[in-house]
Amino acid sequence: MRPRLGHIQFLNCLPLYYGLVKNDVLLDVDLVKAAPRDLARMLLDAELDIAPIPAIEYARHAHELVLLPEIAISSDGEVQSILLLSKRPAEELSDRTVALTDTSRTSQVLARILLERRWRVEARYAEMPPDLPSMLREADAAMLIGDDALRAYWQPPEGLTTYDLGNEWTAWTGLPMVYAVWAVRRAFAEERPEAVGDVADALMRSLAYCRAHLGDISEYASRWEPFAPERFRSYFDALSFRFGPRYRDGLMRYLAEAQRIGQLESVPELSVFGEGKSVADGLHELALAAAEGEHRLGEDEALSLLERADMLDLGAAATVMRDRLHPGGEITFIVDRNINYTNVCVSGCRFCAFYRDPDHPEAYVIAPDELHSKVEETLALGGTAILLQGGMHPELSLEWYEQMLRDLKARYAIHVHGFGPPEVVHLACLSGLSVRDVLVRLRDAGLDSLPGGGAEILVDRVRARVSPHKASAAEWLGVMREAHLLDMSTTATMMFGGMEALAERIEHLSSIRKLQDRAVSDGHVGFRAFIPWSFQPTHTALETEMPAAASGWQYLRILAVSRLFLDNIANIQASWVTQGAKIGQVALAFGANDMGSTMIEENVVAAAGTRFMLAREELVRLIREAGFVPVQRDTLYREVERT
Amino acid sequence: MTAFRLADPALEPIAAKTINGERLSRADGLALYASRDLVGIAQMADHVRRRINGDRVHFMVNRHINPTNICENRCKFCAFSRSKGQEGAYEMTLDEIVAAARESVPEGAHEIHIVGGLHPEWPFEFYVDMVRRLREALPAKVIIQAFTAVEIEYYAKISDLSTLEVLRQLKDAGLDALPGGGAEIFSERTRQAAWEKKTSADDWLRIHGEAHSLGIKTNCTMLYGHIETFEERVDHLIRLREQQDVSGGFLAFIPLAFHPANTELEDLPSTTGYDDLKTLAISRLMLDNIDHIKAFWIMVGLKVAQLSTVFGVDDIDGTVVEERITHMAGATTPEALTKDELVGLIVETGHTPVERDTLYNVIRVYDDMPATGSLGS
Repeated sequence: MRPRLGHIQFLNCLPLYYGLVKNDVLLDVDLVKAAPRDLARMLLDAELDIAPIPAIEYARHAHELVLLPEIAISSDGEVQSILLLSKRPAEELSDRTVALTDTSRTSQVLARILLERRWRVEARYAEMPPDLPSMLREADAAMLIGDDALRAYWQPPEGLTTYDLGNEWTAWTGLPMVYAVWAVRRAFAEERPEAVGDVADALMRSLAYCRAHLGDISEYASRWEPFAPERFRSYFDALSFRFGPRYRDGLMRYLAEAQRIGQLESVPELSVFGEGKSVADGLHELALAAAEGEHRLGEDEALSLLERADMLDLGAAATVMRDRLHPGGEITFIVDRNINYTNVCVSGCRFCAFYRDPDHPEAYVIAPDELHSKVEETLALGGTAILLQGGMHPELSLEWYEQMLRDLKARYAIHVHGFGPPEVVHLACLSGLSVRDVLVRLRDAGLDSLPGGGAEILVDRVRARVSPHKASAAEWLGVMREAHLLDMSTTATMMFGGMEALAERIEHLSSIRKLQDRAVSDGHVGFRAFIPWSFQPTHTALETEMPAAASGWQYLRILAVSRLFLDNIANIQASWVTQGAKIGQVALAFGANDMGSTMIEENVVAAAGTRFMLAREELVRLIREAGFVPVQRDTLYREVERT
Repeated sequence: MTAFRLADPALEPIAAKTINGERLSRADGLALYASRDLVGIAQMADHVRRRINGDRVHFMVNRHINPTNICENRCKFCAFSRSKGQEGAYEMTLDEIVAAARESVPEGAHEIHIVGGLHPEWPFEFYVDMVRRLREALPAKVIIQAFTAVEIEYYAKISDLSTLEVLRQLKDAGLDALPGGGAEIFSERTRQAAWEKKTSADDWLRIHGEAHSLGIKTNCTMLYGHIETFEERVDHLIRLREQQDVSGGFLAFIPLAFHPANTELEDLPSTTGYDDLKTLAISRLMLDNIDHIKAFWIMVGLKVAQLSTVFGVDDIDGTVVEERITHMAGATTPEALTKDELVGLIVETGHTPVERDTLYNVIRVYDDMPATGSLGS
């Protein structure tokens, strides 16, 4: 029997309905349309299996229901369609009558919470049909929802103060508001979990579709309803279908407030389908669809995977994608040397254990002879490149860098992969030249490619806390964009496990993917590889605030999600330097296709207490023992030697 | 039924057996070792693990005491043992041993775990006294798990008693359980090459069978990652499985990753993450009659131990206060982990931490922990 799925016959669910139709979901379910409170009654009477119902009705019957994890009707700020229209300021409604529309349970309670708790008034309440003039004949204020409210929102009636209750809630609590949740009869969820998973998946696909087509949907809606497309667009943008952690916090706060004003007997724990169990089928399917190239992950989807997907599902999906992009069973690595030309840095990043002030006794700038002997050792060890990076030195001029590069190139046939975006920004600043001009001059002096260091987390909120004096997210991306336009090869990194939220890791991935989309569409190589690694707190200024490095568990999850999300970047590199040889190797089962560098020298990480020195033979052994063919590559991912 | 997402089609027949609960063959064990589908193997092991242990991951607060490092055997893989009089050699008195055990009680230990060298001068009575005095000194809830089969065999030799009689006297003195050490790899070839003086496979298994017959529960181990072949590992697992069919007293299986540093075999490389995780998962799949698979985080490292909870492992040992043996061989893990740290690692994986005693009696279920264990966010 097909699952019986309820659908809210209001404008707020029109985008979702559009997605359901376009994704052929209606063939797989019996769709029953009704108002939310009727859907709740039908669900509890077992006339439906899954339905969107008022949040307050869910709470009153939580023991009989479980929730779908990824979907709700919610807002984070204005909602436009739930209004209180008042003849006087809300704070002055004590002992006055407030008319509440009888079509919505959750909104009634929301209005009472705001009146009693936010505005501290004791009003009298009257439940009435949604007709504003008749409501205001008997009351001093009226709550409206749905189309009536939208009409009032767009053409505010004269002489009334209009309160958007979504806005008021978020202003008061700092949290989103959840109006309706998709609930499943518990018995049905236990009997037919796969059917619930299918419906949840179908709803997610429909949501993804409707989010991508809000413009079309607004046009469509305006043909049938008396509002202009841009009005619909504004409304659909305000409405959210999210039910992530903040939204759940918002729901719990709402229920607690409802209990406090006597509208709810007890606040239930949220019982969510597929959670507390290992396999959320919907997420598994989502990960596989991404792995097989059938679906590009959205940010919300990637966040759900990072937060909740089963660990082995992530590994399996990332492996599918890795094998699709790199079908030969080969794992690459590079023999190169990391040379830090100076440890003097004015950036003062709190996660760094390496830098010194200019007058510190351990401050150094590498001498040409030392640099050259390091390069000679690298070549003697079969190395093909140096990774040339340093601090943001306050005095070294662009000419100094050019001279260093020219000297190197005149003497040795070696690839110079050097200067992360923060160094380039710093040089542009010191020289007064544009980023593009700095890049051109470095390139003309011998720079071959640009490493993706200094990206940390490309979210300025995080950067302000951990690396306030370093290039902003926009500056980092700007340098990479210029490098891409110059057809320079680059890589991208992420340092996670500092002070960022999980959503900010996804935001980082998304910024990288967007920039790479631009590079690809303009015909450039862009980023050849992405390298996530975990912040190592030991010996840094963050050590007391952040004593523990992110676990190997966290590392493998973000690695797998990176593989699945970054569908336009060919290579994902494992970081044995931060993870150790064991997890560095296991990374090959979570999406990595490259073991990185033999790292003849890595001062920055070694200074932070992580000392893993792997010789070439050891990398080869790790790759081979994992069942892959080790291939030495160069910086541009061309084969050097097959072992 | 659970559908596995296998990258390696060679695993399909094994997956079918796993789902049907059928016993895996030697060839299956070798096919698992030959596969590079690490996540595929993990999915099967996780399936079996869930069937037996649900979402529980066990741990225990215990105290290890190594009464002496003076040892007659001096095996090549051991970085711990010394000869009498050699620099670094030590021996504890009975008073010191009892005092060390007592200290652990207020720390919440539910087990005293004793293994040590084969001391050339201590008589068997010394060990009986040790157990008796510990039993008298400790509350009943603290279980005494002591003496590997190698030590039991040695006590029989120095006392002219049978191993069964040795076990009986120790049990009467208060011994509850035997640890699983000293099994190494059951192959005669490796024994001749690396630990020729040590208890043979037949004797090791016989002694555990005798212990089981007396109601003494035991653990079992496999020391891997030295000179053994995959065939020898699989054969080892099968011999344990056969013994368990007969005597049924094995509580847990613990694969021990070999640490080459400071041993006579130190030019061998360390085990890899793939090898550690595959060995744990394959153990879970092969040993269908042993309830618990334990990762010894001191040996494989915390990161691998945490990850192993989705590779068939339902037990992470442990909040060890003192563990001289592995540490002298250069393992780089911290020496002790607090209970909170261990619980946090388990919660992060979405499993339910369960504190247990030696016999897997539940002491506390940590089901009230916040569900998001994401460190650093």
